[in-house]
Amino acid sequence: MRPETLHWLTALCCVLIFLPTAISLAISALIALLEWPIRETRSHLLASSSVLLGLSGSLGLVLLLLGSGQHSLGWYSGDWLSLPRADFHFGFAFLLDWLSLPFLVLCQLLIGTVGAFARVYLHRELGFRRFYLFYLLFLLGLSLSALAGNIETLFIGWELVGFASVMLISFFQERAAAVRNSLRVWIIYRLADAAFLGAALVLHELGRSGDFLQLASHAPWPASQPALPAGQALLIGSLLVVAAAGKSALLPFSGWLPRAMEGPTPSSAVFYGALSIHLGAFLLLRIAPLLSHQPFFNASLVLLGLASAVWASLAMRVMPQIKGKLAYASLIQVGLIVAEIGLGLYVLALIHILGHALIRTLQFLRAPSLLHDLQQLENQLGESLHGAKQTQRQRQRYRLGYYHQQLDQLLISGLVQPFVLFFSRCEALEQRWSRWLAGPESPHSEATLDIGGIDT
Amino acid sequence: MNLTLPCSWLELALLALPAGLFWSWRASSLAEARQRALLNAGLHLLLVLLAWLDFYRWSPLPTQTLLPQHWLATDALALSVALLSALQGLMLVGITLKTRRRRFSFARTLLLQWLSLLLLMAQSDGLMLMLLGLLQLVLLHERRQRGRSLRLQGIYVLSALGLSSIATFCLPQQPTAASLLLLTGLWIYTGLPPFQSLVLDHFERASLGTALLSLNTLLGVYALLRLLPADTGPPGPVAAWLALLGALYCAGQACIQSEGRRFVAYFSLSHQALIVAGLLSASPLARVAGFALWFNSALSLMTLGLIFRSIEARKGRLSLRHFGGLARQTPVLAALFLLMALSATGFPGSPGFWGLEALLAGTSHLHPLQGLLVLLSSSLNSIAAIRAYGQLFLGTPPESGLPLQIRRAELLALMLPLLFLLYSAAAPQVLLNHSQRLSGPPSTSP
Repeated sequence: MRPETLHWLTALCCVLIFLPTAISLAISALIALLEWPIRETRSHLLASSSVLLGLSGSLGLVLLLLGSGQHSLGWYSGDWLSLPRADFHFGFAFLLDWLSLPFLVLCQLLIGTVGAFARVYLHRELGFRRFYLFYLLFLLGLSLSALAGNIETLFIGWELVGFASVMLISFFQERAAAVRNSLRVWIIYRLADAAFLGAALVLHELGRSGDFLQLASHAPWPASQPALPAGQALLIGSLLVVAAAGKSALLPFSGWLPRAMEGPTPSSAVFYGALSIHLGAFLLLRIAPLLSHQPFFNASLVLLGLASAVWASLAMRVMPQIKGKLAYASLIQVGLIVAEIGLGLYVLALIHILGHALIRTLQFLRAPSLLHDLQQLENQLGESLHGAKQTQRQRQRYRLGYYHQQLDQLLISGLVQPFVLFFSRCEALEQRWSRWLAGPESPHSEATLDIGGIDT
Repeated sequence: MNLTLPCSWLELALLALPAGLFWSWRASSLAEARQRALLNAGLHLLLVLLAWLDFYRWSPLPTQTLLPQHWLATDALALSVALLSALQGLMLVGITLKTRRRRFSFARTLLLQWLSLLLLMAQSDGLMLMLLGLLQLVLLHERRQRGRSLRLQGIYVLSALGLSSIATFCLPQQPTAASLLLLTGLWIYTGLPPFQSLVLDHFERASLGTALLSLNTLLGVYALLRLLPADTGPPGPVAAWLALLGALYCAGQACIQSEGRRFVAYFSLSHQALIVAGLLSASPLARVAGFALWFNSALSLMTLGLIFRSIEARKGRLSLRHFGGLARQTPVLAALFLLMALSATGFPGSPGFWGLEALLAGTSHLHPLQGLLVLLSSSLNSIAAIRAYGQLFLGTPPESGLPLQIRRAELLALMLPLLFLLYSAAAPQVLLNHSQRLSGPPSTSP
């Protein structure tokens, strides 16, 4: 195939992946903003057509990659904005290789499945259209993250995914707990985003391009060649590990995972069972080959992954709800995937992500029918599954599992409370200063007459 | 068609506003006063827009100026700020509901607009300082009418203008000392940390509409750019550091506020401090970012404040201590609040994102710690914004018989900045090009 034809076909497939989703998202947002009444079927149609067109674009890219005989294809949107005098420019860069494309196809398949499930599951739910609005935002963010060819594009997708997740955790807006938990998740995500952006800045400050292909010295994934000197690699790698830990709920940020289960089952399935939770691992998979010459970095990944897996397996035992149990079960697998990345088993880690995402989505979607399934199982077995007695060791593990809440508490008492205390004291000082300067209010002032305090 | 005008569009605006002010003041009913004020604010925006287009897009028309040019003239920066200010004025008048008209002076809003336009066109330092003082006098007058204490505002404004006057008139031969005094004076005037008590006092004691207008026009920052010599010496970079620390402090305060107005004040101040940090930075990219953030923040923060004011008009002072649950009753206001909060905090896809990215790149190039301060401030701001959204709009809906739905006038007023922000989001290059042009040497037009 001629290079020009290949370039144009690649561009066409990329447009097919992003443009329908972006248009559907804009239409859904406009409908929500102007409160236009629209049928549920139409909301779903917008979403499903975007997924289908995107999937056809992805499959087209897979065929192009196979047909071209190359290890990777790239496409750059051109400078989206540029300030040549200040040496500041940005453009969407996409890298299509055997890491990004399988992950993207998986995302689209699972998002499509969950979308079809949600049409029935959320039928006549008050936030039906809102669900599909954030579903489309999630799809766009995830597609950007999966195909990102530079760190800036990945960051944009990363942020969109985070915001959509948080908005869907507070999907049941009337529940105070859901709103409170979504804010906690948002705080962790923002910390992770700050670390991510910090890594991108450090990369640029060191005179490096954020382009993954250039960073990998144009070697195909996973055989990418380390191009960063040791010290720089460690700094950037550490920041990206913090970002990945926040997004994938690895230690010490795991406390938000059960809180995220406040959202509806379809969103829990797609965010915390299948895709969003793997995004941190995906980021590590993208950059780890570049840092493979760093034994300290690799060892820390193995330790972090294993510690998260052990911790999640303990916490899972004491979760009273099935969704919480499944979430921790996901974390066990993500911990193992991170350990695999630390050991340099990149292809195995990718296969692990794909397989785990599929099985976990199925489990999450079956979660609302759990009692029915259990009954069926017991009927088939002919005996009750509740009768088995716990051994001493199981009881000990169960007791240990209860301590998982302490981690969340540790973060609150170590970070949040000092933060609030410091700013509250400063505010009290400020108010004393202002009162002293302002002096007493006149007895005839509106404040002392108390007329409702509505000073618009 | 060759238009020959007796004077420039801005001079027409300068003449039309006092006439409109008088016309609005003479109205026999409150509804009539609003209608007249709305017409005047609309006309003002149109004239400033024509002046802007005249300056940027069309070939300069042959104009004869009525006013002496050594007093009043215009340039790209003044015109851009005038356009923002006119839009903000129109939004404020348009969004004021009839229930609030008795407690909100339209004539005062038009007077503030007129003084702002004069300030933006003022050429002499003395005239500029005098107009800054007059603007504060109007605000003091409002407080006096409400029987509120004038002491804090009086002390701050007098010290601000006193220091600025000493710097301008007594120390012209000592640029470093003059820069230091001028920076301190205008820092106090703008209410940037550690002098934020002035802004908070406004938000607590003045009407919310006036407080929003006086804060978001950023006239103090404009005066800072105009009056400060090009080479500030050491005070300039020190001020940039101070602004960044202030931005972080205000963002942290915005995160913990339990009172709605104080949240708006701290949230806006944090963004203003980021803008000032960019404008005073030695990095050309940070300066471009400062202007880009200025345009984005002026509109998104004003709109956010006005949404807040709309809800206050229905429910009284708002607390962030408990969940308000208003999304069910006012979904459009909730959606607009979220959009504006995201735009202000630089969420991807919004014009603020590019400004913030450029500021991050520019400041971290100068010193990594500066980049870290910007990063932390923006992260805290986005936490504060989503927290405020959750506290106001989510949670159990209140049992209220009051109609809380958005009115058509409110929707129209809020759509104006939304359209601008959407355009900037779709074509960020236009915003950054304009900002780059402003960050260069000033270009004046007769």
